[in-house]
Amino acid sequence: MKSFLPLNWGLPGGSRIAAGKVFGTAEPGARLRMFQVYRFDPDNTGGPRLDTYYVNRDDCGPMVLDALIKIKNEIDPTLTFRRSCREGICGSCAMSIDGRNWLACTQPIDDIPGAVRIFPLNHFPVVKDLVVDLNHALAQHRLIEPWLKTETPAPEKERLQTPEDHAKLDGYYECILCFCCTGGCPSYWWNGDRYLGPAVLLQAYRWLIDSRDEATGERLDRLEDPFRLFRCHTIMNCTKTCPKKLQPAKAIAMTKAMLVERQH
Amino acid sequence: MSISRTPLARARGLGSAKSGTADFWRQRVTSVLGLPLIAGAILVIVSNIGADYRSAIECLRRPAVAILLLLTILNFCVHMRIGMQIIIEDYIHNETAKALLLIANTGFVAAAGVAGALALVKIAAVG
Repeated sequence: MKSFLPLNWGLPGGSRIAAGKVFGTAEPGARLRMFQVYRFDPDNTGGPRLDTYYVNRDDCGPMVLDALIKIKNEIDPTLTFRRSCREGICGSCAMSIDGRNWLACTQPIDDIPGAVRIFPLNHFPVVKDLVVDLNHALAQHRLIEPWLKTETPAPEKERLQTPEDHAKLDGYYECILCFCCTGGCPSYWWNGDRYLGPAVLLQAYRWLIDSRDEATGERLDRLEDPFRLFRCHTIMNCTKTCPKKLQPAKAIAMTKAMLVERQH
Repeated sequence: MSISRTPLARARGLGSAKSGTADFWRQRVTSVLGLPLIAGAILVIVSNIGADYRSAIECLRRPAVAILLLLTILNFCVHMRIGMQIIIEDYIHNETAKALLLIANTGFVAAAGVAGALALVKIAAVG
């Protein structure tokens, strides 16, 4: 999904992205790929810029994260980004790649035609380069109390759940909180201060349908709000941009259905 | 030096309004009911194409037609009010402007609905 809008369309002055430095050039013979990466240094008075790097594809791993690590190691050590597991399980390297929020470690370079354009995750305040501030989103996650809540005293062994009841959590418990979906949600862009966003609402649903949990009603009370939940207008960007192929939009729709169910 | 609230305090904000489901459900109900209603209303309009004033009025005076059109107006007034309220809440972030626009929205829907209903009642009762 390429953006057809000009790069700085509608951006306020301080956020306009200037043309940046070019590191190396397209030398003939080598299989070079061009990477254009958003750069922002909070210690520098200048605004953000788009730097260009050339990476030899024959000397680089297959994923976008491999290229970023290669750039940081060999070309420009000032490039800042989060990464840890490099296999799609930690959620650290979520960023906007070729116009779509995805994990850099599970995005093959060769699936992207032309220059690979990399920006920080949409919407979130930029701390530095590709690192965004997730404090508010993580606090929203804390708000839904994402842990098992029970009043019945704990049994001697573990709390039991039938395989059928456990299967209901499939497709919901696997969320790694990378916030690709939340960053891609227009409702979150306009009202992220109050709207909880798809990642947090998917997590909330995961606890709503856990057969062992005893706080379903209390959880629904906490979500029943015109802004916290009902700002979702089923735009479906969340489901499209989930690198774990989960369905936050479906989880939110099911949560709304639960709220309707207890009214009638 | 300013001391900002903690992220959790900011996220919790004023807490949950514990409402919103009613409007959500009403919006779905009026969408579904709106389909047969608007189909009926279009049928009434199409069946009156080319008709003269007298026979068009006669058509609207029939109780079934008057009830259908009144229900259509009522249904879409409810639907329109919730829909516009959602748009205002989505995009207007100044609290004063939001409150004024929400009041204006209610006022507009009430005026449009009452005007439409009154016109139909007048035709049905007086002709």
